[in-house]
Amino acid sequence: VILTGIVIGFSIQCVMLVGVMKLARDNPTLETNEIEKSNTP
Amino acid sequence: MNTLTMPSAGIAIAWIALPFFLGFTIYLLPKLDRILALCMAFVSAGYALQLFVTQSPLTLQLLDNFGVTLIVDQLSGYFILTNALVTTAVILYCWRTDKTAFFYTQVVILHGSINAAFACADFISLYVALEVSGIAAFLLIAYPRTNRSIWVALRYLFISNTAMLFYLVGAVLAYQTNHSFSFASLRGAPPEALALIFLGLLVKGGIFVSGLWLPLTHSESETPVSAMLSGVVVKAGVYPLVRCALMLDELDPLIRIFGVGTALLGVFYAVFEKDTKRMLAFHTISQLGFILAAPAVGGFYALTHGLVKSVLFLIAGALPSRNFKELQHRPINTTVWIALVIASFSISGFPLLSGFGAKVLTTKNLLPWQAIAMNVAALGTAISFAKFIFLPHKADGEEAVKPGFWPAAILLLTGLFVANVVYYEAYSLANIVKPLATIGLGWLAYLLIFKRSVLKLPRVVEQFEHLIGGMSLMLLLLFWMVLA
Repeated sequence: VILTGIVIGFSIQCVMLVGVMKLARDNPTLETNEIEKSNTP
Repeated sequence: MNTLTMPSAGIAIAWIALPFFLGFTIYLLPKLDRILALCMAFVSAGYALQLFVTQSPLTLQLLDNFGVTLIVDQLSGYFILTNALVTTAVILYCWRTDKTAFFYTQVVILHGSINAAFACADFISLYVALEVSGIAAFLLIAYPRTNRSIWVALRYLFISNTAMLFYLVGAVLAYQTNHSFSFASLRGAPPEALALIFLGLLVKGGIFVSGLWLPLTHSESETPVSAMLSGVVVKAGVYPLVRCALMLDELDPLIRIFGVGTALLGVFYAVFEKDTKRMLAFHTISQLGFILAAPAVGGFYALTHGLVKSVLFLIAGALPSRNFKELQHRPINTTVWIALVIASFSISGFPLLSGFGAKVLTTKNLLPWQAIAMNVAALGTAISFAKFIFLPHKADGEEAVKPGFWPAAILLLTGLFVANVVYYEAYSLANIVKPLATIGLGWLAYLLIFKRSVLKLPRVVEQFEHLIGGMSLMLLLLFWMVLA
C-alpha cells in the first residue's frame, strides 16, 4: 500500500513538473492569480 | 470463493486488466489505435450486458484483508455500460481527426481506470483507480498543448490530488479501526476517517461546493474530452458514494442531503449561465445530485445522464458560438437543432426518452423531505434547457460539424431511446402529466423572466486558491455532519 502511494505520488509530481515548466516560460513567478487571470475567458 | 464462480472471477479480472494492456499495445501499434480502442469499449459493453443477464452479483476477495475486494452487480453494470457507450461515442467522434495514438492510449487507460473504480469495493484499489484516472484525464485535457489547456489540466490535477491526499489519510484511519480496507469497514470507523474519505470523494465526484472546480475544467477542455469528463469521469467519484450509501444504512441520510444540496446549487448556477459549455458543466453538478438523492436507483440515472450529457457536449462543440446571446442571432442547422432538442427533452424528463423513466424512478425513491427540493431542481433543469430548445434554426443554417459527429450523436441518442424500455412501468397518466407540467412551467418561466435576465453570477468561488481553501471548510462541515 505504501509503495503504491509512493509510486503514484512521484509520477504525479513528474507530470506536474512538466506542465509547470511549460507555464513558467510565460509566467516566471508562477503566481496562480496571474496565470488564472490570463487563462480564463 | 467457491469453484463455481471461478470462470466469472477470471473474466472480471481479465476485463479490468485488458484496457491497460491494450493501452500499451496501441502505443506499440499506432496504426491500429482507433480499432483497438473501439474493441475495448465493445468488450466493456458486452461485459456490462452480461451482468444484466446473469443478475447474480459477483464478490471477489483477492489476497487477504489487506488485499483487493471487487463487487460487480447490476449497479456497477449501469455505470460500466455508461462508460462503454460514452467511450465508443468519443472514439467515433475522433475517428477522422488527426489525433495521435497517444490520445487513444489515454482514452483507453482512462476507460480502464474508471471501469476499475466501478468494480472495486475497497479503499486502496479505489484510490489507485481514481489517481490513474486523474493522470489520464490530465493528459487528455492538456493534449492541445496550449498554455490555457495546460493550466486547466494542472489545476484539475492539483485539486484532485489534494483531495485524494485527504482521502488516503481517511482510508488509513478506517483501516486502523477494523483492519480492513473494504467499504464495509467504514462501519464503526471514527468520524474523522469518514469525513476525510467523503471529502476526497465529494471533490473527485464534483458534488456540492467541492464541485466548483468542474465548470472551468469541463468547459475549457476540447469537445470530446469534456464529453468524456462530464459523462463518466465524475461518476467514478460518485459511484463509491452510492455504493457506501447502499452498504451502510447510517450513511444514507448524509448522501441524500448532499444529493439535494448539489442538485439545487448546480441548477441555480445553470439557470443564470450565458455560456453553453459552462451551463452544461453546472448542470452536470446538479444531475450528480439526482444520482445521490436516491442511491438505490442511482445506476439508471447515471446511465441516462452519461448518455445525454456527452451528446450535449458534442452538440455544443458543433454550434457556431458558445454564447447564448450570439446564438439567438445566428440560426443553427435544423438537423443539429433536432438532435439538440431530443437531448434537451430527455434531460428535462419528457416521455418517450429515458430521462423520463429515470426521473420517475428517482422521484419514487425520494424521501418526503427531499421531494420539494428535487422538484425545484427539475424545474430549473427545464428552464436551463429551454435556452437550447428555443434557439433559432433554419435548414441551411451554419453547420460546423466534424465528420465523426453524426455516428457518435446517433449512437448516444439511440441509447436514450432504448434505455427508455428499462423502466416502462413509468408510463401512467399521473407520471406523464407531472413532467409535462414541469417542462411547461419551466418554459413559461424562461420566456417571461430568464430570457431577458442579464444577471451575471460572480466567479470568485471558482478561483483556484478558493477551491483549495473551500476544501478545508468542507472538511469542517463534513466532520460536524458526521458527528451530529
